[in-house]
Amino acid sequence: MSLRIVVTVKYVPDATGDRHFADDLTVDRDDVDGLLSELDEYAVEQALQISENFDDDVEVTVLTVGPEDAKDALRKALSMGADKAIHVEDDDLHGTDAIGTSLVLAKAIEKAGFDLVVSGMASTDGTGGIVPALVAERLGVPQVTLLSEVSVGDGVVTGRRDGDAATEQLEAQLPALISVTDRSGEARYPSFKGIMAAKKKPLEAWDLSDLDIAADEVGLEGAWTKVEAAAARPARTAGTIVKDEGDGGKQLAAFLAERKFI
Amino acid sequence: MLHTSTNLTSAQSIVDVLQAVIEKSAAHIASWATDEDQTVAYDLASMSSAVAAAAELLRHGTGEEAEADLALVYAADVAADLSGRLTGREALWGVAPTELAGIADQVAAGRDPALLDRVAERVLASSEAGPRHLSEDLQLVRSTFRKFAEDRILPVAERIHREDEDIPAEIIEGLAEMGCFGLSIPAEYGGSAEGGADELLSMVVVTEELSQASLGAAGSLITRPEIIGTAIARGGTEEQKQRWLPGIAAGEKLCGVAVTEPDYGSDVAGVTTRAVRDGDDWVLTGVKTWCTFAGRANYLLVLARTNEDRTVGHRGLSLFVVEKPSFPGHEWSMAQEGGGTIEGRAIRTLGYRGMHSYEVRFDRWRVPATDLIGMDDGLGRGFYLQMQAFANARLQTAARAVGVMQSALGLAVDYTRERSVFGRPLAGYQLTRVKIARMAALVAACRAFAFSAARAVTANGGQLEASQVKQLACRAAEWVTREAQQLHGGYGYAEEYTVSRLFVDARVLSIFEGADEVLALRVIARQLTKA
Ligand SMILES: Cc1cc2nc3c(=O)[nH]c(=O)nc-3n(C[C@H](O)[C@H](O)[C@H](O)COP(=O)(O)OP(=O)(O)OC[C@H]3O[C@@H](n4cnc5c(N)ncnc54)[C@H](O)[C@@H]3O)c2cc1C
Repeated sequence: MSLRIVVTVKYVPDATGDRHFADDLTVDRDDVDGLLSELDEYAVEQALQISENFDDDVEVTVLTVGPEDAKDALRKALSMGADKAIHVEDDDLHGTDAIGTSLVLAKAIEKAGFDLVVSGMASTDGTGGIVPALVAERLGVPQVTLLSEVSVGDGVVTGRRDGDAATEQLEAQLPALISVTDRSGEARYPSFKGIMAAKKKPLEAWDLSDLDIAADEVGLEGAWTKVEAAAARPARTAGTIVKDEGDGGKQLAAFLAERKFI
Repeated sequence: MLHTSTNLTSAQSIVDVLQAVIEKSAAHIASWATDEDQTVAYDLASMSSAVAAAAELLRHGTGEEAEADLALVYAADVAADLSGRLTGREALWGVAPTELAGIADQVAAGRDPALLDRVAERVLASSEAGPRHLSEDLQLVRSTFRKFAEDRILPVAERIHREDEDIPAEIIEGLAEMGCFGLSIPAEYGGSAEGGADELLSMVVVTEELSQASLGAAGSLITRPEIIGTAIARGGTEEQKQRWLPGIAAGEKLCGVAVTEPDYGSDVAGVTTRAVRDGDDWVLTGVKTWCTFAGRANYLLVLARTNEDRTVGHRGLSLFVVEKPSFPGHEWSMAQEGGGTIEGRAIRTLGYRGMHSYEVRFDRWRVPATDLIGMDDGLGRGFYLQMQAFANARLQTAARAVGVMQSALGLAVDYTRERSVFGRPLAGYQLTRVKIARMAALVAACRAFAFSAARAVTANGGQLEASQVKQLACRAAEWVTREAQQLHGGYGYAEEYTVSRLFVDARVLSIFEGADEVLALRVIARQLTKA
């Protein structure tokens, strides 16, 4: 049995850059470099590991919904070892919220064909973390989220979810969707050959009409959620410096106790 | 519409005149100077490197204001340098004292502190010397290796330097997985070279990123597989290529180069380590020195005399690949049945730590005849093969220098923006800003020249350019790291500050891979005056 994996990845503004909102309260992507969301690198890594450990043919497709530059995220994933990429891009997508994004992703995943969808646990910019669940719901497949260990065999995906109170061992019939955490295993660095091979791999571009989605189902207009206001985080205050004159430890403890940390 | 600016035109005028002066002097010097007349030949060679870099910086840019400013600053600096070297020696150069008069205004514009101030403003804001204009692929290569360097190398770079430690296996394995050791090895033997136009450029980009984090613990790891890989790929038999290259490309077999001897460094044609044929073996005896990474290496490339007749000179030399186990630490030794031994002892150095450079003694060490590169066809070709292999290494060394300089520039920017003296940020003083601008111009020029030389070498030319950029960038790295250190004041002299490591590391660059003077006199000046 061959296996078709689709990995959903997001192109996010570099967290070390000067991020801010545009006038319409969407994230301004023009003035800051973007990259493949680090949390999605774990998803790509897990998909590649599944592929390497699987007995039969596996095809790993990376999928992103995003602006022109989002291709960079796809290229990075291809250079890590994914087989092909799909880029959904449409001017009407500007301002799409998580619910709209899940619609586009689900339609694209259906069109691509899949046995397993692998997502990151959240994006590093929005950190909403709800998209994987929404996509699974739209696809009508089981969702096994927040896994820190994954394996696939014989028509099922199994994995471990580490919670605060318990560690769960989970299993789902394929087709299914999983999301993986940042504890699932460090993502590989693309190799030099991988980078050079990436440009020869197929990268398809789809727009909304390819997915039979109407413009008013997505974008700012179709969004179910709305950003009402946004304000820059206030500058950090100077903090407290504890000078150790023999009682540094006590001072630290007092400081923490006062704020009920200990 | 083509965007032109006055500064761009001025830079071009300066470069045109400087190129003409170099050409004219080269012809003049060729007409009278002998090998003994080194002073002008050295200056001619050095200036030719700088002028070529100025031309490349100009060509590299897209004509935008920032790049035009930078090109003008550098071209004017080179003109000033040339004029200093000419003064009082015009007759020897064959250049009239008025030769540079025609560009006096342009040079004045390029040396105007106000222009330097403007350049500095941009550099202080970005820590960058200027745009690299890399293709998408190369940008990805760069960001990938940069991330690796930041995650894995930077956190340990100081410790390796200060404690004179071995390079952690983690770094070597990581770079091996990423394909760093096979950049110049043909794809059919497990490397990634497929004859693409940008291949050496990739090597240059990777080298710069790694050297920016650490010259000793990362940027220089690539040099050895470059040298050995090229020597085997060019001179080896098919069986040897298949046997050696895949392991080198995969980073499973680490390499060292044992060419220099205590009595023969720049003049390697005279080496005395000898290999005597005995049945199916060659028996190696002699002392090599400065063999970097010899401990960890599995393969040592050894240049030895296979012809007892010393009068045949370099035609009596052959190259061997001596296989050995990998040893950690500063001292190691090994013995063979029959009494052959090799002993290695690391030489304590100011910087360039991590790989360790060893004195290596071979005493009656038996090497199978199948390990002479090229076997019978390789007899007497060792010197040529090694020289060819060093061409790539020169380019790689220039890229190492650029990485070290870029690092110093970044640290200088960070520090001068934060440090206040006499109540003002250091970065606010004119002198600081002029320094920063000149450092940036030098970094940008060396980088642009390294890029163009890489393309030229890939296209089977570029030998002169590879030597020129090596010569220029390595000296430039000394000055740039020195200025960066100076800007740090007392802290720059403290081991705790990275800039102190950069300074001592940079010092080695003009010594190895062709000492500065030797490259200038015996490679660059000879080529220039040959025509
Ligand atoms: C840290 C380090 C690592 C090294 N790694 C390696 C390695 O891995 N493998 C290897 O084989 N070698 C290695 N070397 C050796 C290096 O290549 C030699 O040091 C270099 O070739 C110079 O040789 P030398 O030291 O014998 O200096 P010499 O040849 O004695 O030259 C001394 C100085 O004299 C001047 N000079 C030389 N020739 C002339 C001339 N014709 N006219 C005028 N001036 C001249 C130059 O300024 C030169 O620097 C390394 C060196 C160092 C310091």
